[in-house]
Amino acid sequence: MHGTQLVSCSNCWFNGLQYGTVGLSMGYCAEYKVVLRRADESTCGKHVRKDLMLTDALAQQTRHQRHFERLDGVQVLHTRHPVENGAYLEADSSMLRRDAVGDAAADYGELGSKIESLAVLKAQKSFRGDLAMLSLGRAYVRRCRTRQGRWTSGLHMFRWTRQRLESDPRPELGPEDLRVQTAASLERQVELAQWGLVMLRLVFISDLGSHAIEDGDPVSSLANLAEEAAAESGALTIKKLANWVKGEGLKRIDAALSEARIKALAAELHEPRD
Amino acid sequence: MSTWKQRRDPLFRGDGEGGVQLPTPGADPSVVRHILYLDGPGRPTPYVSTTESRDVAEGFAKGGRVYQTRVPDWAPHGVVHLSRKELLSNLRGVGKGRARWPSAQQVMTARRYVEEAAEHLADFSGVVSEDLRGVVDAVFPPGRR
Repeated sequence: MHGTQLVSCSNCWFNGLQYGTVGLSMGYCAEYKVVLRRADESTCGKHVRKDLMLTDALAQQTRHQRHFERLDGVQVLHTRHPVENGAYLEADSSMLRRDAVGDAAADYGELGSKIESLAVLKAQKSFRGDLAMLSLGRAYVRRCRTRQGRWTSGLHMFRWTRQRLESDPRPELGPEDLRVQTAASLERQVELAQWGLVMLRLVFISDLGSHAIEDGDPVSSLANLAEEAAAESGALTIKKLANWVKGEGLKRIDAALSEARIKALAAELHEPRD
Repeated sequence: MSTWKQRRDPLFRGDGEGGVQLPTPGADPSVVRHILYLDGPGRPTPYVSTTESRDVAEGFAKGGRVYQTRVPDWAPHGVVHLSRKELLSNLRGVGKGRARWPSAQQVMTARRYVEEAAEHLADFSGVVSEDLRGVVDAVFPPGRR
């Protein structure tokens, strides 16, 4: 039933402000730097699904581009026409900036480095802040990889995400965080959203594992972490997933990348280059 | 929300003004592939998604309209009902039956979507009529909103 919404801007990793039922009523495309007024009804050739793990998301992007070829702007999902009016897009982000997460997302890539923007999102310690950090973080690391960067471009986010998995196993959200109502009860809708965010954290770490395969790094053992969580955690409840993270997930993460190695890698990253 | 009952309650679908999109009876019958909309627009699928909730269907109509259908009317046309309950029963682990799929992460995500949308599927795999449009319009009558 979700259908086309899954290939719309609302499910694209360049839009950190929306994911499924969670988010603001409007999105923001960090690629084209525009406010998405009807994110469920627009898309473009650069679309990458954030509900899929890296390999599948990129495979789907290739198929998506056969249908939506435009790489220089947003298209209407149902007509494929380029968006040419304000009904879909808004260049002025001032409305968005009244929201703390919206403000940080609109700053992405505008001020200083992108990692600074991601750090601002992380510091908000909110459901939507984490969502934006993870969504844009996936795009950031992938972009770094395509520019000959290593998986370690996501090292800081790895550490932040690992900490969140431990300190905030059941992320709380409020009524202001829901952009649509579903057919499920409100309690269940909230639980499904929580499950979705924790799974997104695991998908982010899995992404780094996938990127590390090419580098021949032991972190590559985490490439299937989200898959393992889904297969081993049982029923689709936040309690089951949180228990799996606590009992298994954190151990596997720490076995692949210890805090000591994180510090050593971080020091390497900050060494001056010739 | 009261429990949906097949004999009592309709199902809804949001789609274009010109009728419900045509399924492809011989297409890949994977339920997970269908629910996750893998392969994107234009991909062949033997299923038509519906929901118990008119509100959800209106959300997906986006400028089109909401069609209403009743499951007891499907069988004479060879259309099979895959209920929400059946879907949820099969969307566990790596899935069962037509919901079997290589990725548990995708199976669980599909399950999430079924729950959020109170989704049921109309399965056209067994439809052999040469007048597919006629069958779809009989199941989703254009005049019934």
